[in-house]
Amino acid sequence: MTPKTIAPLFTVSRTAPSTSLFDVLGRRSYINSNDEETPEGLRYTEEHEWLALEDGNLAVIGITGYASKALGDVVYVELPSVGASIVAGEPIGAVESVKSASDIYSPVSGEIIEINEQLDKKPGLVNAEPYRRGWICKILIKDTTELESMMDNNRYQTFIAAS
Amino acid sequence: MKSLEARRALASFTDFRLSAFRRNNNTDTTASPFSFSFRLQSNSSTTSKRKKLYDMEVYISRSRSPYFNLSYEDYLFKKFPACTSYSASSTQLSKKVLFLYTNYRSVIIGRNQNPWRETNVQSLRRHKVPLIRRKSGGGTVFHDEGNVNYSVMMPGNSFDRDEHALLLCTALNPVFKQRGEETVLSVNERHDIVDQNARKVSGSAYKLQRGKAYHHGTMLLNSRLEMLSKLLHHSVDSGIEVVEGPGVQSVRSPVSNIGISNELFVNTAIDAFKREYTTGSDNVFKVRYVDEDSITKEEEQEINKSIDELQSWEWTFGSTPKFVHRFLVGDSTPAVSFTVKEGTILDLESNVQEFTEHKDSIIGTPYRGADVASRIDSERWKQRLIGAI
Repeated sequence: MTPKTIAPLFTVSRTAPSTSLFDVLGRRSYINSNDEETPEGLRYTEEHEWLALEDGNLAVIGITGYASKALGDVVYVELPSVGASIVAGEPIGAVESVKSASDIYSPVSGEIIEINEQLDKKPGLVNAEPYRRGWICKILIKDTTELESMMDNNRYQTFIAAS
Repeated sequence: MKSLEARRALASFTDFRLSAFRRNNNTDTTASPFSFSFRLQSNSSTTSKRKKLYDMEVYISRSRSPYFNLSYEDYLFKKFPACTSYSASSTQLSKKVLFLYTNYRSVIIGRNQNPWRETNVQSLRRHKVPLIRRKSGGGTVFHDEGNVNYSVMMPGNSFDRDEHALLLCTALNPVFKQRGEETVLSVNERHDIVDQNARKVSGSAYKLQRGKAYHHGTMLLNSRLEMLSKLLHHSVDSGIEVVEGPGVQSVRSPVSNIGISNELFVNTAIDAFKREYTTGSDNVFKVRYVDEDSITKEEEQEINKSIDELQSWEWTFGSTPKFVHRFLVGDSTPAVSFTVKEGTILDLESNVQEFTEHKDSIIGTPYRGADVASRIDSERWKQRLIGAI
């Protein structure tokens, strides 16, 4: 299953005409043969969360397209409180879809700096734009060594192919 | 194909094995309404080459308290081991837990719902029926002693939204036949159990955490269904109130009782799980009765903490996300609109002097009938708010 590279100038989202990933995070994106997008340069967890690093220690967290597709239509997102202190591995919120409340876990420790309030009115952004407007929260990381155990794009692609 | 995938993507957030699931459970592959009849049969015993067996632990509650029962369920789930393997074909012997409980008359809302929108708060108060917010998703249900709830806890890599509902249908249908009854149960696309007239007899809800999940549902046996409409059909329907805001909305369905005794249902369910998942020789099968008096000291501590949370106003009402509650009079213009966040009044809009006069003292008040009523003078409005909030 060879991923095809999309040039940054093209809009990579298949579901909604929106700003391309290149504009938001300055990165190229891959779409594999199952139509699953996994942007390059992000880090991934086995729980299907993604993390993008901005300015050295500000982490943007979301859930991957693979996870949001598996979950089904998201009807509600429970967001953490701004200012809350988080330890890696702790739940920071939950997503509800198809009568199921699924916990989301933080891959890193730190403080919640910002939450995506757009998700209050439009929880479906998690399905439509999991890497763009569907981001969940931003965490100020204390310890960047926690990032080392996360997967890169290729390893995540392998991981989801194997499962 | 996309919609089929979406329907078949019965996945845990953390553990997902779509391709293996398709290989093991490939009887009904069409999304057409005619596949409805195929859903009468449980997949796992007929098609999978390697039937997965589990240790089964069955807990039956003797308590009728919804607070105790939901807390005990949470406790069982906390104790349930999270599976570390992401492979559904792993031979690691896992277990499932089945918890059966009946509550006295109560209304249970989903984790992310707005109680003012989904229930008739005034009616609940008048009939002295407690309102409880549970930890799983989904909509609002009515419980009473003619309803038995089942809760199945499973490892994350075995998560399936329909498997256990199908198992129950397969076990119950012969019972009806034997009694000469027409009832035939099946699972619909909303993962509810319905009878031959498409009336809902059981609603489902789920909770997923890392490595584990549970599916719980109601089962209407001999429930007082006329109470349901009194308590759940909201004043929003009669046009006297409007609630605007996020939150999961309930989907209304016509309901029906299946008319067997609690005991017969419990025994049929336990027997079905025992036969399906254990062989008797290699797997453990345990049954334990629980209630407030028979739990251990350490269990008691955790459960009491949980009971306190479930009984708290903060969890039940106060955790509702920001919304606007409009009270209408006569010609449908809102007399007053409250903007409520985290259980406190954030703002107020009104064309009634009663409210604009006291606006400053009302803002910041907890959104409880008695609290808001104490800020105004009009007896009529006091009564209306005490009832509705």
